[in-house]
Amino acid sequence: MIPLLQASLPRMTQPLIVTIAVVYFVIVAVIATWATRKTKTERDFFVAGAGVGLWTLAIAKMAASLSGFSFVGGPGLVYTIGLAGVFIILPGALSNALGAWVLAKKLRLLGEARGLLTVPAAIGARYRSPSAQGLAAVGILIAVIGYMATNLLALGIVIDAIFGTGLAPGIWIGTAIILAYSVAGGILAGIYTDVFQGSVMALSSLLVLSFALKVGGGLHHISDTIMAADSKFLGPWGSAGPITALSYFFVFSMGSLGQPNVIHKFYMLKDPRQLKWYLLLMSVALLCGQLIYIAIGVAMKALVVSGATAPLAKADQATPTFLLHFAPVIVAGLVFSGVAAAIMATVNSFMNAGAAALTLDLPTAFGTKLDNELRWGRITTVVLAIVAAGVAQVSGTLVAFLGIFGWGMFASTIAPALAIGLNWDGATRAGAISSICTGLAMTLVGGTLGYFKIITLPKGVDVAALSLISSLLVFFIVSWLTRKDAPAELDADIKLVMET
Amino acid sequence: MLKSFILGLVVVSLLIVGAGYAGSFADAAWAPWCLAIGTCGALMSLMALGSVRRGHIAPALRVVFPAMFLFCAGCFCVALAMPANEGAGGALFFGFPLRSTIVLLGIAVVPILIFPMAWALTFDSAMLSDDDLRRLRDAQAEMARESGMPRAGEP
Repeated sequence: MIPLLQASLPRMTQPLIVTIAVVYFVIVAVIATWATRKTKTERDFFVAGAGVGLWTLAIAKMAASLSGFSFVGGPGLVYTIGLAGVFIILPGALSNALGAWVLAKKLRLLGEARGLLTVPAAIGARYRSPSAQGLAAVGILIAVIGYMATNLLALGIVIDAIFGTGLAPGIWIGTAIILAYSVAGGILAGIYTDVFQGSVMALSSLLVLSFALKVGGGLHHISDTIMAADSKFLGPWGSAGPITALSYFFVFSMGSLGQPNVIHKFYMLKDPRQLKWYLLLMSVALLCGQLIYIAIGVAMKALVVSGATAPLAKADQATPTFLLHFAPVIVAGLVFSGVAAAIMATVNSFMNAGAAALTLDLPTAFGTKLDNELRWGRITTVVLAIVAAGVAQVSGTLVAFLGIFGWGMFASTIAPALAIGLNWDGATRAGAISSICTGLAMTLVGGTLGYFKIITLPKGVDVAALSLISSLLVFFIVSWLTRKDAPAELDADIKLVMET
Repeated sequence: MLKSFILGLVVVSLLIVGAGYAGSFADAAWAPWCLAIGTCGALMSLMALGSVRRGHIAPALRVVFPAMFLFCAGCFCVALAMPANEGAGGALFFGFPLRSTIVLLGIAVVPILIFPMAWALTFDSAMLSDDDLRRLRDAQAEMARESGMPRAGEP
């Protein structure tokens, strides 16, 4: 699919940008320190003590949803393929609603009923199956390493661009900063820093939109300029064609049901009745955060075709070029803090999901339980971060390859078993395990064969899409074939939650 | 019965998506149509599945989900069927060419207005009321007592 960042960024070591970035990191440190003092148990570490309010939940979910890709890679993608690129974020309006109706209430109530701390634990509880829980955890672990590596690489690039540290030190400095609060405070520290980081992202995004419209002379003028030079760019499918755009639409809407870093946060809501306003708040938060994605890509295209700036050597330079040449320095500083914020919020959530898989889900799958889960959670967080940072230092193409199937792996291994299973009492353990195995195998094998160019898929079709549709269909087929087992695999308290 | 019908819609929608991907290998002209209609069908039918409680869907939602399916899929189909009109000097609607505006309205603007409103307005009656929550917690406490196991979070 899409690498997070394809190239290094231009140098931004200007005093004001550096100052803003330092202030940003200091504020993160202060919030994290405050939140860390409240982390006393594994429940605090993995689900923020299930005591989070709705505003916090919505902003933190938005921050975790948007990685550095939304701020740098995404605008670059729009600059390259036009409106087809926005089909990655446009389904947000639908996928938020999908998550609300399908998962929000049920996950929250299930978490309360069983004291669940992880997403695979919900799968295990639904099918009374430690095996399904363990397999889902394996999928999460594989995807988490790849996702974290791409995001840590991106953070290293941003830190290098702002502070001039060099890429490798940038990766390790960034990793150390996130580790500091993730290890000490777990998701509790993460979620409160997410609120600050999400606010920075939304503010940055709104500011960039206003500057993009101002620089381009308004949306009509921007569109006229682009259409005179490139008739396909602003067409509904951009220059990539309808299959690419619609495949993005399928993968990023349906796949949202399987993103553990986002759906896991439903466990954290203190009062499930607050979900009434969840969809409204989440939609507004995500809309604010995503405006930058389309604004910079389209504005840069107009600026390039009108001759106001030279064509970009690399698509990922769209955001830094726009900020350094067409926005005030203070906005550039704020946006690059926003990029760091987006990456850090995402990495923190993945660290926690990976640590939970290692500490809670895999031992459960093997019929055991660790003695001190809080301590092991912290240890595994460090181990995962070091592995991911090490991978981030390996060649860029390998990192991009690992990042490629992160979303697809989450979607194809978790979405069918969890999202449909919690809404259909006819779903069976065999169906869940088959769909998880299908997602794992197809994403790993298909991704590897594609990486080594042994197989070539039609333009616009991705392994993630084929894995997702296959695992969904396998889930239904196997559940139907084994339907006589369904009643015996559903505990009474889980059935009660599903029917409430 | 209602749930089975909706599950059938989910499966049919996913099969249409699958057909779309299969068709893309043969560069079939109908493949994008399948992806557009199938994805919209899968999304709306899954939302409907999630809103079923005790075999019923709230009356308002019985209208919202089918209507939004027709609207979203319809916008995609119109954009796929219309000839391209995005060249120099082409007409703009809300700042974008007509086909793009139709798609943006269909999958972003209208859903972001309709769904949060539909969710909030039906939440108390069709999703989770105070009474629902109390009944659930009472029933769970009763089950825990009968099984002799403490409830989650209890010592």
